[in-house]
Amino acid sequence: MGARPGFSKGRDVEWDKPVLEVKNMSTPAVQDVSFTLHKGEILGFYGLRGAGKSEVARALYGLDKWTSGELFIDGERAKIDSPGQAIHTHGIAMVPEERLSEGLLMKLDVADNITITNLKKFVKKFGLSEKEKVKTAQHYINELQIRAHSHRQVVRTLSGGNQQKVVIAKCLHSETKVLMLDEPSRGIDVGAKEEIYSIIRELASAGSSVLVFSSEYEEIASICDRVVLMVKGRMATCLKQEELDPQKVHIITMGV
Amino acid sequence: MKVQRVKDKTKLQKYMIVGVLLVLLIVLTILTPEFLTYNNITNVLRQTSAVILAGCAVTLLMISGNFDLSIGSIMAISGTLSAIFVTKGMPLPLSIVASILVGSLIGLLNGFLVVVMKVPSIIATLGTMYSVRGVAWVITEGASIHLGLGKNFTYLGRGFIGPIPLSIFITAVVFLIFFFIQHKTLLGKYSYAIGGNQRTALLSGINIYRVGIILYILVGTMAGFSGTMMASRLGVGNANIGQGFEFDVVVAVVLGGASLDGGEGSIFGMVIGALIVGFIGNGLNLMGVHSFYQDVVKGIVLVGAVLLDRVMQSRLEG
Repeated sequence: MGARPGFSKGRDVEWDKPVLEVKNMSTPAVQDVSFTLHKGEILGFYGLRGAGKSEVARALYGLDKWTSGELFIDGERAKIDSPGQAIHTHGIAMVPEERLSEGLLMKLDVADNITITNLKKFVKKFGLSEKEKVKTAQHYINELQIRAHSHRQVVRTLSGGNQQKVVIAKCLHSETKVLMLDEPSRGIDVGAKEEIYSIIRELASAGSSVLVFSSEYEEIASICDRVVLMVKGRMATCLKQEELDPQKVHIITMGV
Repeated sequence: MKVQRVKDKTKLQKYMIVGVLLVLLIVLTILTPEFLTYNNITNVLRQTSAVILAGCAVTLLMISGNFDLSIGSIMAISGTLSAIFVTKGMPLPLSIVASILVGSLIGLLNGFLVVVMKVPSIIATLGTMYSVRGVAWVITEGASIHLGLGKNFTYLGRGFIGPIPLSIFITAVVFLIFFFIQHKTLLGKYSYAIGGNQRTALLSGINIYRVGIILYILVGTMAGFSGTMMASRLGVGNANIGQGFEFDVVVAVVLGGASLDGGEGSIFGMVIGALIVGFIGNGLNLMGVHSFYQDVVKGIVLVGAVLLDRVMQSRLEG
């Protein structure tokens, strides 16, 4: 239990390397959202429920149509129409808010769930290689310390924290540049929460960029380098971690 | 312990229906002397081929959580067309391919209605079930087409490769192909994912629309193939072909472990299910039971299989 070793506070964000640039994005649910995500950065989106956080994630994942705005990935103009395109073309993966109904295939086992997003990789001359698939699954089970009897355990029978780790493992391929997590620790016990946070930090240290969408102030304040505050479908401001102050954030996100 | 048992539900069901099939074979061998003869067995296998051919594709479709009632009607239109094309002077191989392709097109139409237009699959395919059979009646003008078909027309359905009937040989090959699809391809795995949870499948980057349409096209193609083979076996193109056939196929697929909610099922199980249904019908025939009673038995077998599935599900999850 508890946080894993290996995380050093001296994580460097490469501020000169923008990975994702969103300019004046509008969808039916959010208006005029602009931000830049850098290599190795953890950028948070904080606001009350219904402030439009999840909707920003949905738009970046090709689930909601953009009515206006521009998207640049690694400096090049891009367009995302479907989750498949987000994952395979642009290396953007998402851990959805609803773990049980959107993140997991409850009837299938841990190995099946971890590999479903990247199944193409295991197609060999004689069809899908079960061996390679299990090898990859086993790798992530060790890496994220997923506590399961084996890779054959049905995910329905895992604890909430371990289920969430399976969903995160789904998103981690070699090609994943941007990981989005929507309410990453909802419904998870305290110990597992800390584990999830250190996984997120380690990913960023390893050079991935992370977007965290959350309505828990403590969560945002403890893991993010910068935080975008959302109010009623618009971004109110963007604060650096050292500028965060619960009182101030509370007043801004209430929209008064 | 519970964990292991939940996982093994499908396996358990597989062993069970293989057991049921074996018991059935033993009982029929003891009860009727005509049962265990080469002619009778190949005869049942040839009739069951039609169910298995269509059932291979339907199993994947039902695993993905969708349904197709128009199988029997597609068989009718492909069967009658294969005869009509030949009487119009088309070479036999070409007429077989063309009539199967018509089945694929109807599958595409079903896929469009269900996947793109979001019509519930039962309603959409109930619609095509009626109108496609209607078209089969219209183009045959209600008559049987059996004149001018030529000697080779019946080869597909009645021919032999050595001692093995051609239709059984083809069905075995098709089974192996679909077995491979189920276990070793993206299409097979994606079918389970979509049937398990469509939302999760979409968010995992699976193109659920493309997979859905491909599955309907596969079902249309295999139903068309099955209908063409049946017309050949009967030596006649008739709009009656495949009447009530969707029922036999669904019984086989459900006996084979599929649930109507999707996410479960297997091609192997479907084959065993089809054989059980085929041998029950054959056994009742041999014992001189009227065909009306056979329908009663089939209905009971279907409901019994679903009930058993529900009981097992709640026991294991209990």
